[in-house]
Amino acid sequence: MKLSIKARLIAAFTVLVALSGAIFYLGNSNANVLNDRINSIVDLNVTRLMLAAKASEDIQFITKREKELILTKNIDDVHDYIKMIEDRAADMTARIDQLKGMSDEKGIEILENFSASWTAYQKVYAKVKTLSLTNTDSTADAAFRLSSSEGREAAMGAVSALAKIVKKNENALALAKTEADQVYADARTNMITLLIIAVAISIGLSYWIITSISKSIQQAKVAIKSISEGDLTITVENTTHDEVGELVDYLKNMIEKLKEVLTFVSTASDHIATASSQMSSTSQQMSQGSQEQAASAEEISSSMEQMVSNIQQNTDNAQQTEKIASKAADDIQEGSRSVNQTVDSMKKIAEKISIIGEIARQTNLLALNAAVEAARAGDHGKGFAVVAAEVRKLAERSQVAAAEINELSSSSVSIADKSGKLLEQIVPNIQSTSKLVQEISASSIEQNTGANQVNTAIQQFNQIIQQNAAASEEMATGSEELSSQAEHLRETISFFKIDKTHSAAQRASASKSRATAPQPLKTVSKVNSSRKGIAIDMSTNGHADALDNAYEKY
Amino acid sequence: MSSETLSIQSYLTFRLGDEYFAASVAQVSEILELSRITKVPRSPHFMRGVINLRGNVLPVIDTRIKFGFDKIEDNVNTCIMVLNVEIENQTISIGALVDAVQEVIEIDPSTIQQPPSIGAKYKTEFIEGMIQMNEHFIMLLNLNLVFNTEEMSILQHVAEEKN
Amino acid sequence: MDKFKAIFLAEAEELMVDLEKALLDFEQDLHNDHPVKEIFRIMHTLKGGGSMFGFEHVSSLTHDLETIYDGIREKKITPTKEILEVTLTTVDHLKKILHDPMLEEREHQLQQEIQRNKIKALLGDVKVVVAVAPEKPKELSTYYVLIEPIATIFKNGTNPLYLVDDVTALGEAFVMPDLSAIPTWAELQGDVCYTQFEIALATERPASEINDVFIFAEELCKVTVQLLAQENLLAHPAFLQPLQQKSLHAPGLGYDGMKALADALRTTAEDENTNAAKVNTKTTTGEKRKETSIRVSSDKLEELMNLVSELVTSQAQLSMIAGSNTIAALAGLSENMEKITRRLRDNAFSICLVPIETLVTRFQRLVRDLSKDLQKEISFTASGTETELDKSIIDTLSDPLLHIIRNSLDHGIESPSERLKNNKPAKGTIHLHAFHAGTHVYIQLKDDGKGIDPEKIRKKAIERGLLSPQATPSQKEILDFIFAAGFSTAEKITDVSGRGVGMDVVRRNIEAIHGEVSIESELGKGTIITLKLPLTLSIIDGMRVRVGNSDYIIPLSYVEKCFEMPTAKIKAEVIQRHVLDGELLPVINLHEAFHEPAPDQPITQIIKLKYAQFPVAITIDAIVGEYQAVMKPLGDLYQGQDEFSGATILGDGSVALVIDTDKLVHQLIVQQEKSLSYSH
Repeated sequence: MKLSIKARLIAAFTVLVALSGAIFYLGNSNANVLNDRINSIVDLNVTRLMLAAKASEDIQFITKREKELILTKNIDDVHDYIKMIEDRAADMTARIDQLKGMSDEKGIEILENFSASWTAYQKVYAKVKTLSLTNTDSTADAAFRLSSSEGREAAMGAVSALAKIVKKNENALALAKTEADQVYADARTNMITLLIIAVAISIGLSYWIITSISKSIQQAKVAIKSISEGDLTITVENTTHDEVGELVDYLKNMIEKLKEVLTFVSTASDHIATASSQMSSTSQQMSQGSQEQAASAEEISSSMEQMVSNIQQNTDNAQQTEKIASKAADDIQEGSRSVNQTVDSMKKIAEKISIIGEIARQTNLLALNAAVEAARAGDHGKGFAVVAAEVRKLAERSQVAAAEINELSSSSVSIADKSGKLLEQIVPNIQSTSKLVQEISASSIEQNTGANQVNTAIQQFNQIIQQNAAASEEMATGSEELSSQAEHLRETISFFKIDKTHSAAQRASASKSRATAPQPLKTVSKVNSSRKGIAIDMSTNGHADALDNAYEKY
Repeated sequence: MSSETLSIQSYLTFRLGDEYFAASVAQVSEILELSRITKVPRSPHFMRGVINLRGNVLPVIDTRIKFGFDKIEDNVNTCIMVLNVEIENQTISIGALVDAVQEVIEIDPSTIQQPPSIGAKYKTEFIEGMIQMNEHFIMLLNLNLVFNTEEMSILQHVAEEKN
Repeated sequence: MDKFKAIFLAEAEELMVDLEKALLDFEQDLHNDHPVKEIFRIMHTLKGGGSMFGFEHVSSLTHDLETIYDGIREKKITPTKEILEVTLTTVDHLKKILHDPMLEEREHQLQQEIQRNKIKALLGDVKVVVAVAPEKPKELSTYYVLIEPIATIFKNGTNPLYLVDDVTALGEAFVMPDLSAIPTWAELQGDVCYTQFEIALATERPASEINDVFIFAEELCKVTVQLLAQENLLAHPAFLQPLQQKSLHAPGLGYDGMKALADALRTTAEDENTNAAKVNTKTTTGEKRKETSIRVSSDKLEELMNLVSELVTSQAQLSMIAGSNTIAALAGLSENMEKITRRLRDNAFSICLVPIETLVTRFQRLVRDLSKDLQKEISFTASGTETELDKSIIDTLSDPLLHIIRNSLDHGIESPSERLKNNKPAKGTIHLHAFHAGTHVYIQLKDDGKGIDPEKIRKKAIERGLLSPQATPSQKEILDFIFAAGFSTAEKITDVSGRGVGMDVVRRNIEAIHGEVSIESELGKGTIITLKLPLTLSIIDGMRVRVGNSDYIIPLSYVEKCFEMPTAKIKAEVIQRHVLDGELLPVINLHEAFHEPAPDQPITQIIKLKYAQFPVAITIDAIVGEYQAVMKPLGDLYQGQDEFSGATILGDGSVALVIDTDKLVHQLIVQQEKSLSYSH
């Protein structure tokens, strides 16, 4: 059977759908016939019935009013009745025309009869109407007679025509009912036959499809169950070529692939374990180195600090010296200024003294003038002359004193001038000293700054070393973790059963020796070649100890 | 105003170089400090010029030159003696520039000696007499004659040469 | 008391001068009231002062004289030549006894008696006259008085109605206010006087008395006093009626209107009226000249002048300081000070200025007396006597002028008979004319005598050895010999003149005050002697220049123009010639002349000067500016150096010499000529 499940299902459903369609068509066409029959009944016969009934009613109304017309004496009423009669007559004529439109030949023939009767009535009515309009008792009698004779006859003819129409249509309706009953019975028989055929076909097709699918699925189920139990050793044989067959094929491939992957993972995990233990030891060494480095950096840093503090002290001392020097320079300048002021004051004194000298000279002159005056006054001036002479002597003495003071002050001025000059000479020396010390101080400060910078750099360096050490330790830890994870991985994949050849090949290349591993002697010795002959358990243990020891050593 | 009528023996002594002279105070009106002297061109050499004496013009005679001394620079001690002298029966004021004015002294007429007529530096008519005071001689001058003369010098020998 | 006596004496001496003048005026016109009043006033003052200060003899004489002149004033005594003669001799006597109030000298006693008797004799005569006098009728005159108050009279607090009252009090009056000038209400100003008053006044008082009413209101209203008629016009209704009818608001009649009314009344009195009017106006002017004055001793004036001079000097100093500082307030103050000082100086100088009139009076008396002695008829007239001169100059002028007048009297004017022979009026005249011209005052003395004979002078000059007989000098040069020392042409020596000490002294005196004297004469016609005098001695407008280290003042009157010249072109000679302004001029190197070093600037200033014969230029260092120099004498010691006319005190207190360039140039030229002639 080359047919796919899809094709088989499509074929079966197609057959079923065709059968259903056939049944539906049959039912539908029967219903249509029925419907047509009902329609014609309703559309034609019923309407004819209704129009005819109406028309006969109209005639009754008209005849009734004619009677009232005849009877009434009131002319106004006459007119009203006339109007009523004529309006109804117009309505009835319209209905007759409509009935005429939908009547068959026989119907039209009846209607001709009706029309003849109606026309006769109309003639009677016209006479009645005229008589009524005259409105006398005589006329009313005449009219009455007329209407109850001729009129009555005509109206009866019309009504009987109309009754014929009604009768005819009621017959048509009874015929239609019998026809419909026959149609219904035929349709039911056809439909039941068809249904039975369809059911038979459907059952056959279903059986065929179900049996073909379930066999292949059974095969796949068996294989998957074995995989789920970790047994990859099963072999799967494919018998069918449909979709399920394909599925089994892929399953077979998958098992093969899984086998390959697991083998590889096992090998890789062995490798990782080895590498991680190597890394762990290296990082432990690195951590130790970092520690040592950090210690040396610490030492440098402390020396550096020592140096910085020495430089600071130098700077302080230099600044102190500079302050002292500039203070000294200031003091000396102040001193020089004071000396200059002294010189100025002395010069001023000398000036003032020269003024005193001048005054003394003038006084002398004045006294001389007074003496002359006194002398000219003769005896009267005697006393005054003595006074003038005294004044003159005093003036002379003050002149001499002034001259002396002047001399003294000028010599003082020169001395003060000299000391002032000396002081002024010292000032630049001290100022240059001060400047030098200032320079020293400045360079010390610079040095200090430099040393501080170096110190900071070292500190930073130290920090980095510390960080490195920490990092390498972390790394060691990380590698431990890694190796344990690798072990865990191996344990996990050991769940799967793989062919012996396959797994051995994989293991020889990668796996670390495990106590559980039956024959990995050769590979282990390859890894730990320096320790030949040592038991695998021992070797792993020993290695671990060595790592531990190395770790502890830092 | 003349010295005879007043008969005062007070004299004002003054110095020219290292020689001392005296003028009768009767003829001295005042002593002035040296002020700016305006030269009068084309006037005799000993006429130093004129000064402003309180709004009036006072002629000043350089006594050093008149008395035959060398001209020296003026200094603080240089003074102008304002003298009243009689010239042609008119009393006029003149200023006499002297090196220094000393003092007013009173002289007993009996101590006045006659100037030596021979070997004296100055013509005798100008010297009324001389007295000794301390270690120097003071010559008492006849101011009217000294400043009256048109001659430039009152020196003896110069006068002799002229004559 | 002595002090007051001295004051009285000084005053009395001046009064004597005034008295003499008044007497001489009176002699000219015996009908003139004014001198009589003056004489009376002086007599009165002398009498009062004399008795107060113990000059009893003076007062007794003046008392009697006063009585006589009172009589003359009241027209009770007719003035005569005799009265005048006696008065003049009395005045001479009074002058003497002022210095001998107790009549210690016998001569004075005698004279006193003589004068007394003379006056008594006069008074005796007078009594006779007085007896006749009462018959004189009382004369009424009618005057037209117009009072025009100035618009602002009310502001001075003067009510013009009082003035009107005062006028009407003098006699019978009819007052017509003239309201025509009053404006409408809108324009009316409350404090302005619009009203004038016309008064017809009949009074026996003279017009001068009417004028006297306004003595204190001279500046407040214009007063016109005119004589209408020498009778009481107000007594005539024909005169009064038109006046009464005149509306208050109609314009005033004016003098002409009233005069017409008066004339209508009396057409015959015209001549007399005008005569009287003349007299009155004359009197009015005579009285107006009176000024209040005080007497100040000339010493005080001199001191004032000195102080003003010093102030001027100090002011110059202040200006200098203000100029060198930049204090605006100081500069303003100094400028103000300068203005005030200048005014004060001008004022002080004007105080010292005295009209020549004071001199003239003396000469009038002299001429009068001398002409009598010489038996000549000579009148002395003067014009321009109000010309003023510095008092010191006036004092110096007195003697030279006397000399000149004496000469004119003695030698100039001929005797009446001689004059008549020469077709001249018997009465000779000497006229003094004074006038201002520029900064100088000229006094001319002109006589209409016989003039000076140049030939006589020539002879005399040759006789004296002043002129060689061969010389032919010009007339001017010949006349100039008159001013030579000891030169007199008078043939006989009189006690008036002719002693030969005259004209040379005149010239010397005049030149001493920087004046000049010149003479013009025409034989037979007369002589004119002209004195040219500086206004004042003590101040000159000068240009301050610098030569070497000293400043000099050159009087502006000598300066003509200023130039510049490169210093290099000026030679080291005192006199050289350069072309200046297209004119070859002698240039005096003042630096060389004054023994100053040549200026060390490339340009030397040159000043062109006026010089007697030709323009001359001098070199200077710089022109400092104009300078008003207060002249101070250089003193006798520099007498020989008249190239310096004096000195002045500069702002900084130093002395600057004032150069008399005329004399300086002259001397330098003479010196040059001498040195040239020596070198030959």
